[in-house]
Amino acid sequence: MTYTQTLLQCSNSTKINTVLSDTITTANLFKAVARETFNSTMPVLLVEDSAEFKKAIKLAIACKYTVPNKVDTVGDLLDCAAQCYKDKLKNKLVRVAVNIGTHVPKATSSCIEDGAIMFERPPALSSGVTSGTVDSGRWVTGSKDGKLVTAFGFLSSTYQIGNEPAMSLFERMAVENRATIELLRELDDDKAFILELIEAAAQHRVEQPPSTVSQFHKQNFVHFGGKRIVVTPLQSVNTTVALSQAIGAVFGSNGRVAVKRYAAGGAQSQNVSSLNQDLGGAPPHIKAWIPSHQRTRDVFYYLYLTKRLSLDNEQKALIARIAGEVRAIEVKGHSNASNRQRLAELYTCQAQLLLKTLYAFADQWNMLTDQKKRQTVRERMNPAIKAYFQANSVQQRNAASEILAWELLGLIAQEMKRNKLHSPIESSAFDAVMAVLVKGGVSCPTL
Amino acid sequence: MPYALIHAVTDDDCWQPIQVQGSNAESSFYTDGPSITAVAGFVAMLLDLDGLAAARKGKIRRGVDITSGGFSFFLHGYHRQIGKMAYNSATANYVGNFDSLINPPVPVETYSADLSFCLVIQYRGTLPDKDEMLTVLNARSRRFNGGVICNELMITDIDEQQLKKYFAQHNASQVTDQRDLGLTSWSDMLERVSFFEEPSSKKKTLRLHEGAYYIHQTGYQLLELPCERHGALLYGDQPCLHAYCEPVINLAGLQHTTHFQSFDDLHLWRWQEDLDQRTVMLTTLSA
Repeated sequence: MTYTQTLLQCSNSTKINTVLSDTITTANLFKAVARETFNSTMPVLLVEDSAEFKKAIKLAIACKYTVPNKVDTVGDLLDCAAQCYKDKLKNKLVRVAVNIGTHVPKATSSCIEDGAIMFERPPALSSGVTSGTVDSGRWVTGSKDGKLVTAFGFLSSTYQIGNEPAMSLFERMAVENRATIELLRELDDDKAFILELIEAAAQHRVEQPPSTVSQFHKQNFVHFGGKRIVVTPLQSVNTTVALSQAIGAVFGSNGRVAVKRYAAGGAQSQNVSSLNQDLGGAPPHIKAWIPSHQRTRDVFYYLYLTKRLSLDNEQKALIARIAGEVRAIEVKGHSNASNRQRLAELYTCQAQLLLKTLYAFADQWNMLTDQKKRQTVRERMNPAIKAYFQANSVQQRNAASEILAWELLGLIAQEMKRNKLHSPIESSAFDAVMAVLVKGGVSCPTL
Repeated sequence: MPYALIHAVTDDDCWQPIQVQGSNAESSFYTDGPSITAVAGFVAMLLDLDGLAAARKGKIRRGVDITSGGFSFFLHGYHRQIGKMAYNSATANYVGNFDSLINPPVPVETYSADLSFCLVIQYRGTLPDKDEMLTVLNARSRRFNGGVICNELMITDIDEQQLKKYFAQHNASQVTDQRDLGLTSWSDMLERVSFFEEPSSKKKTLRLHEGAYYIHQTGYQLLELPCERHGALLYGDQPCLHAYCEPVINLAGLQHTTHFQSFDDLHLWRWQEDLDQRTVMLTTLSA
C-alpha cells in the first residue's frame, strides 16, 4: 500500500505520527507522498473514487510545499493545500501545460532549451519495443525550463479512478474531466484562470509537431516510401519509464542486469527535461554483455553459458560423491596406490557419464544436427575427449576415459583447494568439469 | 550474387579485422553496445563508390548495390573504454549503509568503446580492382560510429573457402537478428540478458536460453508521416522530408564462427520498411 493510500485511509482527526511505523520519520513521509505525485516515473496511483482522487492531490500539494512540523493532522494538510497551490503552483500551470509532451529530444547540454513534443501512440509492432508496444502507465512529461520542473511533474502525475483508464492530470484538464475541474475550483475558485488552463491544455494536446527541427538534434538518412528522408529519434516517456520499471523488477527478484547511466545536462540536469530529473539526471541504458574474444573461442563456452550442457541429479550426485572421496584422499595424502586406483575407476565412470550426456546433447542441439558441424565440434575438443570419440574398441575407450578422468581430477582438486572446501562440493566439481571442456585443448595439471 | 569481405589489410597484404578506437558505445536512448544501424551507415558510406566526394574530385568509380543482398556483421572483439575517475553515486548504485557512502574513487566507463569487426556483403555490380579500390577507400572518411579506424580498409571478393580460412585465423561472433522471437516487452528481453541466482549453487547466471544475446536498436518507427520541416538536412543539394521517430529496440544474438560452413550460414541484414506500421528496420528476415 502506498503512503498516500495509507494516509487516505485515516480519518482527518488522526495524527500523522500515529499512522507511521517507527522507522519512517514525518519528513520522509512528506517526501514520499510528494515524490509519488511530483514525478513522471512513478507507478500509476490507484484511487477508489473522485473524492479520494481530490484528497490525494491536495495531500500531495501540501506535502510538497509545507514544512512538516507545522501540521499535526491530515486535516491540517488538506486545509493548507489550497494556499500552497495559490502560492507555488497556480502561476506556472499555463506555461507548464503548453510544454507537456509524450516525447523529449535528447540533449546533453542544459543550455539547449527545447520543449517536449506531443504525439499519438504509434501502432504496436509484432516484434520489438517502442512506446506502442509497452505500457508503463506514464505518458507525459515536460521540458522547457528548470524552474518549472516540479510543476511538470505535477501535471504528468497519473491517477486511475476506480476502473476508469489511467490519465495524467494534463490529459484530465484537456478533456475537461469533471473531478479535475471540481478540484481546481476547490483549490482556487478563479473561473477565468481555470478556463484558460483547460483551453491551453486542450489546444496543446492536438497541436501539430513543430515546423522546425533544431540543429542540435540528431538527423539520420533513411529510405521510406521510396524516398530518402531524414529522421530525428526522440526519447519516449512511456518506453523509458517501462524500462526503468523492468530493471527495478529484475533487481527486485534478486537478479542483476548490466545497466549504465548516462548523465545528461551536467549540474543542471533538470533543465534538459522533467523526465531526466525524475530519473536522477541519468537515464538507464542496458549494457550489451559481449563475451570476450578469448572466451568465445570454444564452442563449449556457449554450452556452459547457455546451460545447454546440464547434468541430471543422479549425475550430479555421483560427481559430488567423487568430489567427497577426493577430499578424503586429499586429507590422507594421495601416495596410496589403492587410492589412486580407486580414483581412476571413479573418474573413468564420471567421464563416461559426461560423454554420454555430451552425445545426448549433441543430438538435441540444433546446430549440431549436421554431420559436418558435429565433426567441427569434435575437432576442437580436448584431445582426451577426441580420443574417446575416435576410440574403436572398448579398451581404447577406457584408456581415453582414464586420461580424461585424471585431467578432471586435477582440476577438481585445484578447484576444491581454491575454494578451501567451504563452497558446495557439488558446485565446485561441476565447475571444474566444465572448465576442462571450456579450456578445449589446454592440458590440465594433475596431482 | 557475389560476396565480398570488408576487412583491413596489413603492409604485407594479410587480412585483418578492422580495428576501431573510441566508437560511440551508446546505440540508442535505452541501449549501450555495438550498433547495427551504425554498421549499416558505414556500409552505405563505404559502398557509395560513385558518391559525391568522389564525383567532385573527378574520380567517378563503379559502385555496388547491396539493397537486394545485404551485409553480415562479424564482431571480433568489443571493449568499453574505462576512463575518468569518479566517485560511486549514492543514488545510482546500491549503498549498503550510511557508513559506506564515502566510497573510494573508481574508474568508470566512458561513453566510448574499442571494437574490431569485419563485414561480408552480398552485392550486385562490379568492384573496382585493388589499386582503384585503395584510391577510392582512401578518399573515404576513416571513421566508424564516431570512432577512428586504425588500419587500412579493403573490400575483397571472397568465396566460402577463403572465408572459412579467414575465420579459422580470426574467430568472431556473427550478430544475428532475433526478431522472430516476437518479444514486445522489456521484461521479456531483460530476462534473456539478466543474471539470476541459481537455487542450488547460489551463483548468478544467465537463465536457460538458446544463445548469447544483447539488446540493441534495429531501426526507427516514425511518429508522423514525413513532412517539410525547416532545419532538415539536405542530401547533396536535394532537400529531404523530415519525420520525428522513435528507436525500435530488439534482441540480437551472437553466433560463433565455429559453426560457419558456407554462405548459407550468413545472416544478411538489410533495411526493410513497413508503411502501415511506419517502420524502417534492419532485419535478416524476409518480409
